[in-house]
Amino acid sequence: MMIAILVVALFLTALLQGAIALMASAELAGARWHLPIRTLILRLAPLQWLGVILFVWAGWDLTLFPWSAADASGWLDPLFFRLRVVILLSITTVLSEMLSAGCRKGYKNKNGIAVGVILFASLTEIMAAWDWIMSFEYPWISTIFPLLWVLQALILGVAFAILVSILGQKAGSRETSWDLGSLLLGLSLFSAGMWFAQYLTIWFANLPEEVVVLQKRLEHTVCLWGLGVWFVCGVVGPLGLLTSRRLRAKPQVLVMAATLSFFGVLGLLAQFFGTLV
Amino acid sequence: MSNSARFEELQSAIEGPIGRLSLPFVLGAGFAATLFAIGLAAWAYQIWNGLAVAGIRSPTGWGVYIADFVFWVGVAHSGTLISAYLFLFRAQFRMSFSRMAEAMTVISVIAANLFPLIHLGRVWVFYWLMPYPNQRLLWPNFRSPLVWDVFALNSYMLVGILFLFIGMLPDLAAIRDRSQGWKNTIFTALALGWSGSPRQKAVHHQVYRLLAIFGSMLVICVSGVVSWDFAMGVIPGWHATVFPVYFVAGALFSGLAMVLTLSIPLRKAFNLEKVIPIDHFEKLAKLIIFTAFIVMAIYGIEIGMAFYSGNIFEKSQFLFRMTGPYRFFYWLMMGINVLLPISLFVRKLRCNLKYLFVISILINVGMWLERFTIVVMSTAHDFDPYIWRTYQPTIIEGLITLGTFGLFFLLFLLFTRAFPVIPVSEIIEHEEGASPPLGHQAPLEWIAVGGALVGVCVGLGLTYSTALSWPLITGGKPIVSLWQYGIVGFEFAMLLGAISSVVGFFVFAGLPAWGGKKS
Repeated sequence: MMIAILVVALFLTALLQGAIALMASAELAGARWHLPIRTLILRLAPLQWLGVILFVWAGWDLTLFPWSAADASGWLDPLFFRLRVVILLSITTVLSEMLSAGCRKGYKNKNGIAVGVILFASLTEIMAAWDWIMSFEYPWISTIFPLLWVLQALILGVAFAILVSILGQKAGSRETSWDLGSLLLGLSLFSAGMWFAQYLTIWFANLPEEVVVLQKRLEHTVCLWGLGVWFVCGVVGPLGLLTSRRLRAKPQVLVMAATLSFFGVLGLLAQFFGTLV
Repeated sequence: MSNSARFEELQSAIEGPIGRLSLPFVLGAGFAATLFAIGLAAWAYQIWNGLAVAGIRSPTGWGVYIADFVFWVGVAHSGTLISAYLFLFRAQFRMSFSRMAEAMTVISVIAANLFPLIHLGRVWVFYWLMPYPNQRLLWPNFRSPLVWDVFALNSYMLVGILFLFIGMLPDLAAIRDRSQGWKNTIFTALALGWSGSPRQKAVHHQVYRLLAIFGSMLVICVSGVVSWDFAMGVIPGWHATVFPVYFVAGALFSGLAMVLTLSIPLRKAFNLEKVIPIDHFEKLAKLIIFTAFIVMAIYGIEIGMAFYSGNIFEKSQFLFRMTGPYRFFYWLMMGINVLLPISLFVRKLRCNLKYLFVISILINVGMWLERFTIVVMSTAHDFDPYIWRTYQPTIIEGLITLGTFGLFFLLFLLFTRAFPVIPVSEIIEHEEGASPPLGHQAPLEWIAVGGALVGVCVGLGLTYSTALSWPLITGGKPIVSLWQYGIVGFEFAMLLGAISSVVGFFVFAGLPAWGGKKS
């Protein structure tokens, strides 16, 4: 039960923060492509409070985490552990709501708020990956893992923006969808590259404390299925659908690629937490 | 202003300096050539006396030379970022810097490529790295990231040269059409008979995009491979999975700074104020902030993980960096790479070219120090306290380093006097709102895919067959493994994909055609 709540919390916050950070980046870059979808996406900012509630709920029982059996203190002090993501997420939520209001009312300092949104959204996702996913395999560490998770948040954000722009018929132009498709393709390939980099470094060094994490997952049926889903939906799918420029310009194809990307991220989570099943 | 008048204005601004020598140019090039000559003399001294003249001693086997190598590889990457990535995302401000960045890429890869040779000591045996059957019955060890590096960097250099040259073709033809005498003869040869027909323009757009894609993929590959030179070793401070991303972000950060260092004086020297407006520099500054944030995040993650992991060696390594004999350089690096870019949030500062110029030089210093931190500090303080030692670079290493800066600036200055530094044709096309002529495209994408597939086969064939012909186990790795050999396969795929695209372009564009019509 707790693991399901945790997965929902991670997925929901990654999706919302990815989409809101994407809007904040576009705002900072002075872009215009996001204008038709900006209001709708920023209006979803308060939904992040749901993420806060879910993280509080998931933190109720920390026995899933191997370090909780020991008398953890300092960085792994249970109260500090529970609080830090919740605090960061709350700050991001407040800033996102301010950005939403700033865009509606034309605040002068909205660029400053956008910087804050990007900064705190990244920190929240880094901390979520570090604490709530990686420490599940304590003391395994992988320095690339937090960034891999931030990238998943961005992938979810771009996929969500594609769905909003096409299904909500808010598409600015064919070029906007084309660019979002290119971005999704680039991020998906980069994500595959990151996963490969992590795998290869661990495989090459062959250190027992690192290899065991991969070995466990490659031998576990659910994890292996999760990995397969991620690879097919999160890498092969976008690659096959979005490489061709003609296909990339078709709304149906973009919707399909965006939907597959959602399953890809879920697959990645299943690959990690599948050992519990 | 009419399009033709605008073309004339731009073309004159770019073409004017070509082939002409001005006093500042002669002084600058002379200074750079002197530095290069000093570097060459220092290298000759090292070859004559052996590597002992450098400060490299156990345990620091990789000193300043490898830090320089990584630095130049990093600088080379932003050429592709500015030119290729921003091209793929149709960011128009890239045109102000793309040609300079592409030239910078090629030149800095040349500078980087010198360092493995310099560090080799006995440079005359460098050909041992080449895969050829020989009486020693030995092949390069394709399981080593160092060998992946040789192939990756040279593939990147070749693709970089193709990208630069193919992008320049319409501008070379424009100079040919407007010049006379020796200049005309040279540019006639270089333009390969480009006439600017709809067919040629359409295929040119295609091949440029394909080269941008191959270049972009190779950037990630080269950065990854260079980072694996370190990350595959289990030394504290090196063995980190984040290194490929760390190196890509650092490379883009330092490369963007180098583009600023080069373009700000060039804008003044060539009177390009109207071609490169301030807001283009501002956008570049924003990209610097973005890459700086990634670099900062990685610094934070690295330090945080060292302490979180409870690994005493990692903890000790980071404490050594912060409090050991190199602490001044470490904190200087942190100050420059973490604090300084924050100042660019102030609009007034990021629109001030003098400030940007100063900050760009400082960022380059900071990024060089980052490479020094990674390469030197990690080995100077590894597992065994018995062999801990403080490495100090010698004057020879310093002079060789300065020599490569001389080479870099000399080649860049020569480039500015020999070739157009701004893609005039592309700017005019953009201002006219012209799109690639429809109905003239060639099946270049399929040719590129075919070439890439052949590349995969060549890369895998080479690695598998050489490994099987001399089945020597190294590092406990299997004799054949797709994980390692796939990287060489990927490098060959990118290289042959790019080369076949260019061959296809020449065939479908009817080039080379001696002389060529007026474009």
